[in-house]
Amino acid sequence: MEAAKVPVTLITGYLGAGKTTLLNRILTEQHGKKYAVIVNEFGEEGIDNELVVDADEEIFEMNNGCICCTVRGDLIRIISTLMKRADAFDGMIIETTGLADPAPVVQTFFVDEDVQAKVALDAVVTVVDACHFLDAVDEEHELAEQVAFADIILLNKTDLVDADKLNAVKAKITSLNRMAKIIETVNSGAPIDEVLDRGAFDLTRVLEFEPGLLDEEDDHEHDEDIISVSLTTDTPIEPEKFSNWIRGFIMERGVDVLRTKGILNLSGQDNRYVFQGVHMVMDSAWGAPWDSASRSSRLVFIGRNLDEAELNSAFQACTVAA
Amino acid sequence: MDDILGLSRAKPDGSAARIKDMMRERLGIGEETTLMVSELHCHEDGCPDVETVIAVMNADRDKMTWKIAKPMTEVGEGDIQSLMIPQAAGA
Repeated sequence: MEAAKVPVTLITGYLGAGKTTLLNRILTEQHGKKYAVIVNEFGEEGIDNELVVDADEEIFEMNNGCICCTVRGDLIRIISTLMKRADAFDGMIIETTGLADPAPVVQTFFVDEDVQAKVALDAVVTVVDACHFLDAVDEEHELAEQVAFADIILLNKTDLVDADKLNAVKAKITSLNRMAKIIETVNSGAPIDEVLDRGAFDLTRVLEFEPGLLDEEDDHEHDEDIISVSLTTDTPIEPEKFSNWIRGFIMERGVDVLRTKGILNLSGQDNRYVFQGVHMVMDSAWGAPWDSASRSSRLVFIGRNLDEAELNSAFQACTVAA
Repeated sequence: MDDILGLSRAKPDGSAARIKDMMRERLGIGEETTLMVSELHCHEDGCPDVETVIAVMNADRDKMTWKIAKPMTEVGEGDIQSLMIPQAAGA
């Protein structure tokens, strides 16, 4: 039997959003678990944990300049070292700097076999400051990326904004990322079980985790740099057509596509086909059998310069009816 | 069931560990030095479709990277022996 992998939670968020407060809440909660904590900088707020490792945000480009082939060398080194004492802790939490690009961090967990064998990315948790988000998101490239990559968004400091502003912030977040679960908090006070052990990158848990993936509401804005596009069809998908299209699309546009998730009703198959991707790194699995009543295929892209009409046309062309 | 769309990542088959062992012997380094081995599917013009990337990830050696224009499963002792090794890195 495959050994259980150590879960890794990635906490991102802009400067002052409440990342360290969340981290300390997790660490001081009476859950009986020990965590290794990897931080990029020691801020003014101390971290209440026995094992804190300082990382140096070393970007390693496997292929010059291509973000799809970029990982974090420091994390590979730290994880390799930590795993030699893996019995000493139950999980890892990585807190990035406010300016960190999440892509190299996320891709670190998918490029090296030894890392993949020992640890598994559990979820990307992004802490958002409800008070300053709308002012900053259009100016700060990293902030939009952190939201776009998130599986869980802690919408923090909600006590500092009125209902209208809170709704505007949520609408903006959803336009960037319709897959993430939004948890409204004050002082980063999220229930720990809604942050840890989420299995967001576990293909067998996609259905239980992704509220937006099954949501047909199409309310996102169309003039964003980063947008979230959701496609659906009730007609079965022709596997060969879809495979040719998606592989070609990701090959060509993988730099722009930050995350992809899909649940497909493939022609002639009783089970769901589930897949996901981060830039050009894709993975798939067979999910549970379909119910007889509804067999809708869903596909979500989060990325830059995505043309929804073009994507929908290409997706619909992959059905058996096309 | 098979992955009929071809979107699954390759399952680990021990190739990375085999390449790391050969590199450790070639460089004369032990387990304390972190190596990374990855298979890159590059789609840029002029690049091979598949490359094996090998890197020494120690903080003071992070610039040492080698690429072999083969999938990991096909990388052999001859490929490792033919790599150019900076004098400071080798044994």
